[in-house]
Amino acid sequence: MDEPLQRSQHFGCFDDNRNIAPIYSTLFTVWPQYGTTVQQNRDSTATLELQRKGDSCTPPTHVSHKNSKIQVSAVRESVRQVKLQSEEKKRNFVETVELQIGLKNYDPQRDKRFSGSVRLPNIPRPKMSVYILGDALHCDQAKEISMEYQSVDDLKKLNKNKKQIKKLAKKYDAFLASEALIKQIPRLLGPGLHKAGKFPTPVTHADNIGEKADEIRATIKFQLKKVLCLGVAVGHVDMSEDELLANIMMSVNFLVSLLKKHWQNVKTLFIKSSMNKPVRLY
Amino acid sequence: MNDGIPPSIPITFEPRLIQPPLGLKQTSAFSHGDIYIFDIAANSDNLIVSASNHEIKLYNPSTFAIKNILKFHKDTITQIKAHGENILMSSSKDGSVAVWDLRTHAGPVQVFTTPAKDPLLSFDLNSSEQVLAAGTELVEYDANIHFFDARSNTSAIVKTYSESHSDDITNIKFHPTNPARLMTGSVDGLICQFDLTDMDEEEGLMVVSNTGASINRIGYFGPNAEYIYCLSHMETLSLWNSEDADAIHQFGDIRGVSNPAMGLTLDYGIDCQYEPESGRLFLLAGSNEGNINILHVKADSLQLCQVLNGGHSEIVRSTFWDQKRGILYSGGEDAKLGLWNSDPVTTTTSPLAASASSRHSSPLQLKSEGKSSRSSPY
Repeated sequence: MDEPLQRSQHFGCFDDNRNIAPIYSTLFTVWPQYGTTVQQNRDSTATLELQRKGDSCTPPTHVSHKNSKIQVSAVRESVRQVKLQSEEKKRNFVETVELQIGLKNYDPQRDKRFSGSVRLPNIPRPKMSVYILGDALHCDQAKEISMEYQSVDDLKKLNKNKKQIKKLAKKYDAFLASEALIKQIPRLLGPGLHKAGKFPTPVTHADNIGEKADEIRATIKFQLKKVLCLGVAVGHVDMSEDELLANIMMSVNFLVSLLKKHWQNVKTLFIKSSMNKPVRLY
Repeated sequence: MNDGIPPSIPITFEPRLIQPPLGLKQTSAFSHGDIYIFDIAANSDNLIVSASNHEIKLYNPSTFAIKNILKFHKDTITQIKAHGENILMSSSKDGSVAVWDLRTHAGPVQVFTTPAKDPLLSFDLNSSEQVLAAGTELVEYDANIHFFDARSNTSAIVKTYSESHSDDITNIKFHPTNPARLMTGSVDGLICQFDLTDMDEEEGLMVVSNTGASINRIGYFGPNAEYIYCLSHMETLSLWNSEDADAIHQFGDIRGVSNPAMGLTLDYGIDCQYEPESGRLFLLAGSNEGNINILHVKADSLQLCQVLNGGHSEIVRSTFWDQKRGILYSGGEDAKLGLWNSDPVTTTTSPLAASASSRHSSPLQLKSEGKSSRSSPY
């Protein structure tokens, strides 16, 4: 998509709390070349500004959203604090930024299960290793972008050796497999990748494997089990303020949309970097 | 991978698929107090309802008169299933699958349980009635599928599969006609299909579909069970080919069909149901305010058939739709049971319910809103 977006274009906002998330998602899926900034308007709506990356001459495009219970300016301030905390005490690794949600009016014993995943606009775990089990085309593509890979023949050589398969499962964070190959995985590897939660995600010839790998890196899982709090990794301290802000807003709005009573189910929201104290958002 | 956000999904209105349309005939309170109805099953003589207070109640399916209360489970009842006219099976987080004879007023006639009492989330009996399979919650690092000999009167585990899932096993479904074919679904997003002929987990794992989303409900459908539907906890719907595990269509987040102009608010999926006579797959989905939406699922599009409103005021957790007889039962977090049919009766108090409540001295007050509110005309 090379056409610049129209100014003040609205994307069919609904009037509950899931609005800004669809905007982010649609935009980032369809127009990955756009970066975003989020600003708080005086009427308490949030405006998403799109800027084509690397092109400061394109005028920003505004999209409005109503009814988010957290003020974007307040979140930005909290993000600033978190980044500052991390800078003040520099560690020898890049700290993760985690969003912590405390729930209320929710009973894990009987309310509907709260479990799923959400794709964030900016990759929170850039170091996540993705391994490709590829057919000829995908192996070539992998070679070109320096991704590690293996072909069907290589998998056959494993001879269903459980130890080797377990080792493979441990070595990488996630797996992609060519669509044609994925059907053979149960026969080639048995349930060897299942227990590690690493059964491959299918990739077709129409997909770009680099982008597919990034999709996996950008997707975070969340699940509420027995206690009323949930933590999700939404970024790391080397991300820009805007990137962290976009990820946090997306996560919060998506998670809230899945709760029965939406904001009535949220007691507290904190963000924190790995080694520092939580900073309150709500 | 699904980003789970609802872009708008186009939907058309096709009311002709449910003719005559269903209307609210009667409602009843499961009990006083703050409880949720979890699950509904039925056969010709019984309406069977499980609730969050660990009780299962048996009702007369037309009058909602209470027939019996089944008390046994000590923890959340995760699934119930009627088997034939006289048998009920129920699974629970207390680690047991109980088998009940609905004709007696005693406790379970048999209890299947595991030594470790793994919380059981799902179960099924195969088509030859010989194998009972039950799926567990993730306990430490194991999510297990336990197999029992359904014909034996002991609770000995015949086999346990522990390698195929890495999280809670929310669905266990046997193939409708092939007694050796099993499908399992989990929060880990995988639909695994097994050939049980040799009872070997590794050799028997036939095909795997990675749906990429925590699985809420799966089921076989199609004239020969050649397809699978899948509803996730993020409210996405997808259809799969059961032979080769390929995706047929990903509908994405079904909340995207919400359309105020059609009076359609869709907040969550309840379940899918296949109608063999017409060859159609239907989706039952609800709103947070208690509406039940019935949609027709086509290969790549959705049609709204009917909105059932006025029966519930909270999330609807279960429906049981007898399509042949044109009766739908619903139950939800408002502790209400609903009966919907095509009977155009519009009396203010159903006389049957009134006489039933005077006969029973049970604490249950039968509240009947006999006023049949027809589903909203468009």
